[in-house]
Amino acid sequence: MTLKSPWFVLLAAVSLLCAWLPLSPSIVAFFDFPQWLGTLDSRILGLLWRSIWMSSIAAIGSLILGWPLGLFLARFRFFGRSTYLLFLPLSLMLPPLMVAQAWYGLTGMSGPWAAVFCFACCYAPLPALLVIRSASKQAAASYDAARMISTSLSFKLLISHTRSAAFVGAAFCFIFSIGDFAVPDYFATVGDLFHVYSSEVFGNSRNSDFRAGAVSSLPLILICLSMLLCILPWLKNQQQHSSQECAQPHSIKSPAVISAACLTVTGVLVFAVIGRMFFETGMRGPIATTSWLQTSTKAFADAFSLGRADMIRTFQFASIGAIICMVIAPLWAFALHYSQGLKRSLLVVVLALPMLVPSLCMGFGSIVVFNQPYLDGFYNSMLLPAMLIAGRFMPIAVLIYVTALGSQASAIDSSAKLHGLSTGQRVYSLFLRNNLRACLLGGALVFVFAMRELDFAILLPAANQSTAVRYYNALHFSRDNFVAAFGLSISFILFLPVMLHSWLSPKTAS
Amino acid sequence: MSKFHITLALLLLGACSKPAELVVYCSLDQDLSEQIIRDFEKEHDVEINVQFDVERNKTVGLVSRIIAEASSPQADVFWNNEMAHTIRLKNLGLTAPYSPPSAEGIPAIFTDDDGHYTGFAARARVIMYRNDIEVNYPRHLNDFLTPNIAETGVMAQPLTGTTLSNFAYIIQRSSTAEVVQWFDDVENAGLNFAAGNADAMRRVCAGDYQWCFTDTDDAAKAVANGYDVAIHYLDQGVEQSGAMLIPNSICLIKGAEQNDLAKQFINYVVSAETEFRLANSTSAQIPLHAAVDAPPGMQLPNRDYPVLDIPWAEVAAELDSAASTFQQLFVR
Repeated sequence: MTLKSPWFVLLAAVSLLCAWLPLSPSIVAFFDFPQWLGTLDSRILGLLWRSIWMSSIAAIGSLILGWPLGLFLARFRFFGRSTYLLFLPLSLMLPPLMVAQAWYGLTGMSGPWAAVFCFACCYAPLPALLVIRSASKQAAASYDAARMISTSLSFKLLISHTRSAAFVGAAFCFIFSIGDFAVPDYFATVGDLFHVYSSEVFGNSRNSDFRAGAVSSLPLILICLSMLLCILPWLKNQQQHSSQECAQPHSIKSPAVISAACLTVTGVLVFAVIGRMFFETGMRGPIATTSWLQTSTKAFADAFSLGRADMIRTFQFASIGAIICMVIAPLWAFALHYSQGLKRSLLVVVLALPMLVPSLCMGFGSIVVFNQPYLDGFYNSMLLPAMLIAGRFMPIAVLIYVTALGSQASAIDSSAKLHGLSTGQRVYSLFLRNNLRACLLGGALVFVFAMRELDFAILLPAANQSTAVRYYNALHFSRDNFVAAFGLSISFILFLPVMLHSWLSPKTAS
Repeated sequence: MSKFHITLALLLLGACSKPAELVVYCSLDQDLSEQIIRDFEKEHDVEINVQFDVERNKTVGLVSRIIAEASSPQADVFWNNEMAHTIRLKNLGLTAPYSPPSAEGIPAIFTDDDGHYTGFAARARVIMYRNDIEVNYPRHLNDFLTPNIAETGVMAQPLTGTTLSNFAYIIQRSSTAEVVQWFDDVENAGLNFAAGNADAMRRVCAGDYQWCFTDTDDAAKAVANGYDVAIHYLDQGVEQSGAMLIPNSICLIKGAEQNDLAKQFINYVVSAETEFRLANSTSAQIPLHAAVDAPPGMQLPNRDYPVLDIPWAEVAAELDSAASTFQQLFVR
């Protein structure tokens, strides 16, 4: 794909409209960075350091929880395996704040370590799912040969094969954790106060000009960008054996132990949270006169009646955003696949920056750019939030698609070119057909992140009455039954397609 | 046409909607305000596009949005849960004058001389303390400096909301240096800090502390949830004695002068009937109309406790610099 290709023009136009135009006021603000550096003091460095160590330990925690779970689920057959596989993605669909609430309710923990634990639990499915995916592509010949020599050797080989996938998952945990404001804020409100760097960014965006928030977010953006550039080669290496016959799950000597271990981890990640939130739907104050069941039933009824319209609206703009991502992600992946060196790094920056800039800045930027009298209809329509969602979360869809393309793409593409297939045919006919599941997974993740988006939802007319706004409002005003019921309802609706797909699709070995 | 194309077309069709007749930006809790707005919709058979704020943003989300949208205003009415930011908007030239007839009976100190905003349904800054045990709580702001009182209490960091307005007022009465020194002293005396007023209230209900410095609406929620707590209207006066009262405020946004529905809406919200509803809600907002019957047990300003005369315009002018000072002091 060359710079003159119409496909590249389409890619550039979508990126410009969905991401870079709304970002432009923040980018202008970035030029104040040298001036901002002059204000750097021990307080700001302290906040930054706290954010870095918290996110690093959360990433290590997600690795400790997610990597073994992924290995066990990918490689061994044992009782309950399909159930654990089914419920694993659910943890990603739960809003991190809901996970925080549940763990506070269960243990009463608070402070920075509670936030670290919560992040590790929320994002542990990322390394687990990537490891499962990577392990499923391991060459059967090498794995079986190693197994014949010794179990430990085969396990070492498996660990080595899935290492980069696990680290990619942990890196994403780091990136999502370091920019999160809500979870540390929650654990600070229920226990001893502490702040993270995102509190400083949020405060700057809120108390004065939003551009101050943009410029003070640059250290976080640079850290996350460096992390993304570091993991980029790992993404490409994940599927080196995909053209060969892949290793299959097999029986083991002590399935009960492995099953118990998986049950424990899945219990921590999913069942404990869901169970606690379900319990909270019926929790009552000291002078309540209704039973648990009555309170819970009312909470779910309220969640449905008050939140139904918000859910429909959110589903609409989140779906359009996810569809735009699914259409454009294959093009992006293709462009990334064929770029190298500096060009590749630049493309990653162009792709990832919208996700790393605080969404408040993107929201304000879109007001500055799109709130024009001649664009009134567009500014008030759902297309605007849908476009911003696409622009902001595109990197998720693209990176998933890139991992699916893997190294097989070059050989197949060369052959397709020789047969005279155009770029469009190769991207949308040949590769998309072969990697449709990755494309759908990317779209689904974009949809989930869109449902959770709060900061720019407040700022955009068509997104203001969304599930996230209602959820956070109710949370603040101590409507704990409603919050639990509403959160569970959203998660259940998000999880329903996964569940139905799992039940209705023909059973295969893996 | 494939299923994909049909789905996409339906989604895009659903994305286009006709503009509402009235756009209201509302920073009062969605729980409290939504039903009032929907009732107005039903009564007048109109469609209102309501945009809510989230408490985490403490009003500033919508205020910043109105400022950012200044070149092409989207809102017709702004219903703010406090005063200072509304005055900020007035000072920026983003509001238009309209004096609702239903505001008659509201004391003049809560309305703008030029008619740019009207205050109604207030909260007071109070000490909420546990009633089930003997508590030595502060009667005056200076009592915060007494170690055996400070150690048992908690207050919100003055980063946002009413606590920020409260201490912007104190800065305006004294100086930034004195207030910074005061915070230093109360911290040394052992006072504890929470992220917000509601959090401070929760910590008292949970038994972590004996008293907190908060708003009447948070205290009312604690009572509604069955906790045995009481309130004391904290005297914050220097030259005059009294508690600080922070009313809701409502204003017409510049550009909506010709929208009669917007004026009808303001008139409806400011009315004694709406104040009565808010007074009887879970947040027990204090009615400012003399004619409104307060719920049993609700103490009323100037009848049951003295109230400070707050120079809101000066407080509003102090807000940004106070917020920046407190961010340096507390976000660490």
